[in-house]
Amino acid sequence: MTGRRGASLKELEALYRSRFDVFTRVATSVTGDSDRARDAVQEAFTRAVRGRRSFRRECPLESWVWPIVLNAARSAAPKASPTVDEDQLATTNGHPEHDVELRVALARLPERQRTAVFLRYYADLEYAAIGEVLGIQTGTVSATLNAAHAALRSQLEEVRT
Amino acid sequence: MSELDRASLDRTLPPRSGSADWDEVLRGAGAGRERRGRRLVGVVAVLLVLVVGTASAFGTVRDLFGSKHVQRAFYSNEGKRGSFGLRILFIDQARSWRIVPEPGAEAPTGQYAQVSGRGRIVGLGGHAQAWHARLEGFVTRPGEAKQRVVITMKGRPKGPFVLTALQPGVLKRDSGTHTRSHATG
Repeated sequence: MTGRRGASLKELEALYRSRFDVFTRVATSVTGDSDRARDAVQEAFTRAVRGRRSFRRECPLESWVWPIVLNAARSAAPKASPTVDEDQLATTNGHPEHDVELRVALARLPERQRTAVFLRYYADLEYAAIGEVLGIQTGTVSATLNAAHAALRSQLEEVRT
Repeated sequence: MSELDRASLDRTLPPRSGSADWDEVLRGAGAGRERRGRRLVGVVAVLLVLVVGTASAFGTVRDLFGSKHVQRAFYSNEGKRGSFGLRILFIDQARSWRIVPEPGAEAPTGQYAQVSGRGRIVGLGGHAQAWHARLEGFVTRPGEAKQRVVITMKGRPKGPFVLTALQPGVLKRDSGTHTRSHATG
């Protein structure tokens, strides 16, 4: 029983168009820069189109594409950690102080925890899907998110006291 | 943890930039040629007009047609200063570009900027009568010779520009251009 293998261009295009913003925003959490993130998503889908025949339909297409996007984002990310531009936040967002605290706390998380947070709360992926994307067990996803929660809570409480 | 919802996470990220461009993906992957076939006919007709007009001064017609990379760059004019960004992926290590205003654009004849890429170094030079260009960009991923270059041009160039490769050869991918609007000087 082999079944149909490979992703079609139409499927990839539909995924790209429906989830481009989510892919780009999560990639931005890795690159720290919207332009780089956008490039990374473009590059990732270019790779996905080229390698679409290797998609085995053992998981949803999106779960297959996410690692490609994250790898492209990591490649595009600067070696130094992204800086926090507080002025920019203050002028573009609604709750600057609160957002700066959260942004700083997120930036301090290990990359896997930060990526898991964005995949869970921004991309709305289930734990199993996050596990596939990050190449870890579902239980490890839970532990990773718990650790991220604890670290964020601790840092935010520290800032506010 | 009440802070962790999409809206709050969104606010921690830099402002959005760029938009989805599936055609760019297909170009990069070398796929979807059949889909673009009819559009190419129109593009080629436009390019014929543009390229033949400048070929005699800068190379043979064969040279110019040898490159598939002819990219339109829309320049944002804001008073006396504006800028635009190029994202160029070279298949080879050295290539020069000529940026010229399209016919009808508000810029005197003869103004241009030239960008060349050699491995990790991107140089910018050329000739400009009333404005100049300076390099703000940098090279990323030297192994792939992918280069992001942001050029700021001072003066009053206005309107669409055409980016044309000066050397023959097929480029691996054109990842497009986009307009940036920096503050006026």
